[in-house]
Amino acid sequence: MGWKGLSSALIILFYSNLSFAEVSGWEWFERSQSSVRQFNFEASFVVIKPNQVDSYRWVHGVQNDSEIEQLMPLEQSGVEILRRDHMVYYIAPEKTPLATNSSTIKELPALLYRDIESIKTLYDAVPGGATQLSGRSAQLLRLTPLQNGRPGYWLWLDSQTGFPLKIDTLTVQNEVLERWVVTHILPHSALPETLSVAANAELPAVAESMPTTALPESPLELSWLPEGYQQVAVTAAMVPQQVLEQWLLSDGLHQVSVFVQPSASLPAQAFRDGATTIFVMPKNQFDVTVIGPVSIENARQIAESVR
Amino acid sequence: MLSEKSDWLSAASDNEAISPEQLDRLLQDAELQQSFARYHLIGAAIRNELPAQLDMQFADNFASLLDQEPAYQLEASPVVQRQDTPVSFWKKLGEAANTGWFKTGFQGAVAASVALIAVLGVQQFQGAGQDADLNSPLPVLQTQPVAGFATPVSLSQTSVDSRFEQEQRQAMLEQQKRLQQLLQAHRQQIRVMDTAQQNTPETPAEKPRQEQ
Repeated sequence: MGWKGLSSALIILFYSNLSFAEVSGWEWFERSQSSVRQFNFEASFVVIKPNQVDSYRWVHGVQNDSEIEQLMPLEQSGVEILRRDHMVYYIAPEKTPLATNSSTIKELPALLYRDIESIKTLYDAVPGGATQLSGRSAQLLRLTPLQNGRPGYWLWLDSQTGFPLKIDTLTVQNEVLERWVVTHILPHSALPETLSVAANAELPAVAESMPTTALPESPLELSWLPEGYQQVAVTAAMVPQQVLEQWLLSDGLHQVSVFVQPSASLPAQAFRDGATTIFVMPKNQFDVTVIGPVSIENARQIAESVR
Repeated sequence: MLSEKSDWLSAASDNEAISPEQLDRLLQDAELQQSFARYHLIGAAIRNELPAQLDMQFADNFASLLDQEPAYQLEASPVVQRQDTPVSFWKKLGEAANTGWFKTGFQGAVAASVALIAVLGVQQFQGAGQDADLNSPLPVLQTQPVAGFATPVSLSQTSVDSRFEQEQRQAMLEQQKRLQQLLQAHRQQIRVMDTAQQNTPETPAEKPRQEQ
């Protein structure tokens, strides 16, 4: 009898602890999300993958209730990305700029911008200890996936402002797949001067209308999706030529692409590009390629479900 | 662009015609005017037309410029100085190596180590010889292959291997290229995802967020 009482007391203690932790964890997360939306700042960050390091300059400002954000790769001659509220422009040299409808720059960590309620359905937030990071006191916040197959996230947030300083993307075994680290940050009291040109630049106000031609009908279909994922419309104009079929899956935070191509007679292979899994599987006369932040096991299941 | 700019400028300093636009730019841009003057000075120097009297204040101007230069603190810190000690030890050792008693001792050490290597080497050689003796009768003398086809076979084998490797590498490169392209296509789809969803609001794309 005694141990029952003790264990129930322990369970109550455990649950009360858990619920308390959950609330403050999501509070931290909310602070972090609003900081990247509301602050005026200039920052630099690097994305570290096992065989690659990319660095970016990131400027954000708010003027008259509208957001202006700019993301520039520092090394490769990549595209420059500019966001004005709900319009995102991809500006590459020698190419016509691409205008899209989006309230976020997709190249920034999606975690910081997605609707918090939808993230709560996929993750559990548990605050960790405070550490010292680049001379600031940082609060650790662990986002653990509720279902296997999704990557985990460890966020280090500035203790004073909640601004994200470092984000690790991890496997279920807590191996770091990708690391996102802010290397420099300069807060501004108003819109950073570097953005004033972008704020007033004349840019198309409407997103580019993609040709609505559908992909040629194919007898193939996807018969299994990982939990929480839904099929999303694919812009046919952007599908590469040799691809017979492309599906895009989304769980609100992550996106997975499935490609079907004529076979190149290669064995099944799995690669990783940071947190992104690339899984190739030959199937009869086709090659199925799954690309996205899913575990290799999930990628295999998706590929096997193509019929 | 810079070289293009200086091209017409240097042509102009050689008395070539310039367009009215270029003239306007020259009149407005102080930097261009400076380089124009510099080109003329260079031209004059090449043609030996420099004035005999050089600017006597040159040295004074330079000295004052040097004075205005900010002075950087480049003194060695005490930490660095402390690290100097091992270096001076080696220096001392080097000096000591030339003194009489040290020289003899050192030479002795060298001789001893040579002897040690010789002994070890011989022992190892003998060991190898014994092993070889057990396996085949004449391991060292057999410079020619036993059968005539041995060499060509081994040669062709290596070339087949390398050809195979090359093909494999080629296939791998192509695979990499294909995957890079697909990765790019995946990123591109994510970029335009929201636009696509707005165009087709009947897709169930937005639903999962509310559902779960």
